[in-house]
Amino acid sequence: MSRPGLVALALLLWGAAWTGAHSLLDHADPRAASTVKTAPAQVRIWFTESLEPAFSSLRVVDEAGRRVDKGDGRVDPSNLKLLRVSLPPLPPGTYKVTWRVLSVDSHVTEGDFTFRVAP
Amino acid sequence: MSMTALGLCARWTHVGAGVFLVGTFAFLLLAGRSDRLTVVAWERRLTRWTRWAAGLLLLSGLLSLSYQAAVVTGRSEDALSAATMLRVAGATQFGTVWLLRHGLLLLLAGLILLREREESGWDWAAFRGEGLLLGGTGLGLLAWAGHAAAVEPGGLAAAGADALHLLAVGVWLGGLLPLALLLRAAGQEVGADARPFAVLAARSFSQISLIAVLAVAATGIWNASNQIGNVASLLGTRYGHLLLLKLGLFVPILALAAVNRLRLLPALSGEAETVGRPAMRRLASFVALESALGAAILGVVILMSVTPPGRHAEPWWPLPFRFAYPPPHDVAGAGTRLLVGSQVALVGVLGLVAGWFLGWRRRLVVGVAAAVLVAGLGVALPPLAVEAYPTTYRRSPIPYQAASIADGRHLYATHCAACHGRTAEGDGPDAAGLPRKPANLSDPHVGRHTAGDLFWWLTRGIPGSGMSGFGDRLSEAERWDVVNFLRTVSAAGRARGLTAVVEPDRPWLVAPDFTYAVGPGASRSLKDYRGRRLVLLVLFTLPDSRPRLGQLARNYDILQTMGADVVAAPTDGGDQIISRLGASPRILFPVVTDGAREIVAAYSLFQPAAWRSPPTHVEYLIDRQGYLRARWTPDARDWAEATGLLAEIQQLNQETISVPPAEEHVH
Amino acid sequence: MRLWKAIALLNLALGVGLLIGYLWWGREASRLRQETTLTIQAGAAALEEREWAVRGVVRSVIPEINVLVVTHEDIPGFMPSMTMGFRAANPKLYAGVQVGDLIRFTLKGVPPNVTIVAITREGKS
Repeated sequence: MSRPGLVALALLLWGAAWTGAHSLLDHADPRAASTVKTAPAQVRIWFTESLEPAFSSLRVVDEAGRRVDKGDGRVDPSNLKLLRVSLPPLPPGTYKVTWRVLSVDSHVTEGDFTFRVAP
Repeated sequence: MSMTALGLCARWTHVGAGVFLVGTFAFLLLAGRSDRLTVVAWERRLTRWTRWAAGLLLLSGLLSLSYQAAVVTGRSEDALSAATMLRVAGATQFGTVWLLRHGLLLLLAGLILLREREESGWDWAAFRGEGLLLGGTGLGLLAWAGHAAAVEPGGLAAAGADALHLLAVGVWLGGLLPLALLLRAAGQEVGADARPFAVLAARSFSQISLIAVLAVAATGIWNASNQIGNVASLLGTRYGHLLLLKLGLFVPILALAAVNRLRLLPALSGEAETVGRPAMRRLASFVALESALGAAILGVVILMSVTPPGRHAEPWWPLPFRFAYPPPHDVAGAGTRLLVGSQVALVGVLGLVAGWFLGWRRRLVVGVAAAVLVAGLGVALPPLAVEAYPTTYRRSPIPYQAASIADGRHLYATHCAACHGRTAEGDGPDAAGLPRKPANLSDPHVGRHTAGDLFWWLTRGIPGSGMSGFGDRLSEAERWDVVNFLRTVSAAGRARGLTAVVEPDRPWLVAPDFTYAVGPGASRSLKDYRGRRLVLLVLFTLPDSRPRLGQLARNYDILQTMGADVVAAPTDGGDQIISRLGASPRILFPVVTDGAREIVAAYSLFQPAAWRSPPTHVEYLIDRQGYLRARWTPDARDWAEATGLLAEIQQLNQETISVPPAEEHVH
Repeated sequence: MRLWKAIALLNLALGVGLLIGYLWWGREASRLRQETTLTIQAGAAALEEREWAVRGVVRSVIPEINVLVVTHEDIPGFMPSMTMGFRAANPKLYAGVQVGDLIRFTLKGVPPNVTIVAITREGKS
């Protein structure tokens, strides 16, 4: 690469927004964007890296934006890559799971997905 | 200036000051004692600098913690919240490492203030040794707060290598500034008394830094393989680009170092007025230039520390081609060309090595050998080059799961089957009107394209072929669903010969993950059995399969004792399936009531008659690593008696695990 | 005091501190492990009568031994979701209950000795 090219690349990289996406969602139960017949008793999300329990959380809200989980969302003590929250019996509808986690390499990731409980 | 820039500057200052301190103490130890006036003045000056560096180190450390507090909560005002900072320090790995390091750095700062009391030789060595020890530990521990800490498995080795990398950088890069200062002082007319000392110090440093640079390179390669892993991530992710930038800055440093070592260092002992002093002054400025480039490298490193490592980011392939072996399309004579070309290239390599060591007409030999090497590669590589696209090395964000495959199958039937055919053989009703015959997607060659290639064609279409892009009609997730489905079709094509007999130690066919539930029971996944139990997946129809299910139920306790579980999925979707199965004989293994449709849509493709609708009874044996190992249909005798099935299970139980667990994402 | 002596003392103190920290960490870890086991045992051996309302699907009815085999959801504090046989307090409870029925039943007793004391049918599965 030419020198001006390098300089341009460096500037580009400097100017870009630094949103770290380090510990990524591996898989979730219920699956993202899935429809389940029976309301799940909990939401579990597995990540690719170990999480910091003090700064990792998740919440579940219904279509109206009301929080529906039992407020015990936290990292599983026996598996630091697993984030879980328990749910009361949910009526049919679409629910949104929002998570924000800090991984042990000191980076924050956040995201959300929805699932649907079929009538 | 933004919060982020401030935080990054703090980190850069922190690492820079740490590197300087480690290098300075190492250099002072290396250079030895001297009471020459110029040397004493140089040491005094360095000591003053170390005080500043220690102050900066602590200050920037505090700023880093405050920046981290803002990062973890996502609120910039928390950068000033003592409570949040305390929580970060007390309850995260970053905080533990921070506390440990700053405890040591406080001791180091205290030590530097005590410097005045130095009296004996022991004091001299203890002061410098302790400075190196505290500074080095403080620098090396940084590895446990960065990307290396999150590597799994082998986190300890990865962090250890990273720590060694930091230490070697400290000794080498941090030693450059003291060396430059010494050479500049000794290169002046009044510094004549320090000249022998400076020459000796430069020589010892040259030896040590050679070792340090080798260590930097070795641990750097190890780190890169941990954090990046492959060429696609190197060329196609921001983290990889930063590494290339880092290497780009490293090359001129190495060139400067080579000139210094091979040309200037021997010249130092020449005639002082004409050779020695000019060489020393030039060496001083070259070394200063090296350390400036080093500071720039540290800046890149700080950027890398806040960038997702290449192994986690999705690569964006920058080249219009890639090399693939074997090539996806059979090129006539490719094998011969590869053989001949690689042999020619090998001769070139041998010539290069020989030419380098012979010394006899080195330039000529090396030149010819290089030409031979290039010619050899020119013959061997072109047949291996295949077209590549920006998404070629993308990994599917949607796991290889039955639900995704089922969705993909449905989308295929709606959008693709008209041209590519209901059974994906490229023979759909609309195929005739197209400029080029649609691809036969059940052909094995499809498996040699990457999932990212398929995704690209699906998104953008193939110009001039009649294949249009679906980027505006299907969402990204839907396109990946189709890719997952096509992967299943291609795998199923290769699975035609699968039988009821397990091929020992040869797992290759990945069993797509699936999720199921029985009534209101908790949902379970195939992955839950991973590493623990074998799974016999039964796709069944009623009433034909009822006797077979009864037979499996009678043998369920033996199957379980042998480490196998049974999961039965009805091919008709399973409305009220447990009621329809009836009470006798009693069936207690999981009968899927939720998720059967997806399982059947994906797994019926692995049947001998893949596209038969509705599918008939079929059983699959899935091993503990997540591979599909054997298939049975009622027309075969093998498992008709339970003993046949038990023999295959026993075969899998005896197997030594030779392959990694099945991948969850297609490639 | 000479500087080198002070430094030697400092390193000694750091070394001892490291050792103590390591030993404390080891003890803490084993204490936590013990506590976890104790908690689990305590949870299993809670000697008071409890009651749960659980949903499940009937897999088999075995009147000879008065047992209903049910694939049930999680029973908090007792057992996770599984297929399990439960004794019924009274044969009349499962009169008319068929394989495949979706039921909501009440479990009562001192774990692990629990019996089904009530059943309502909710549908078929």
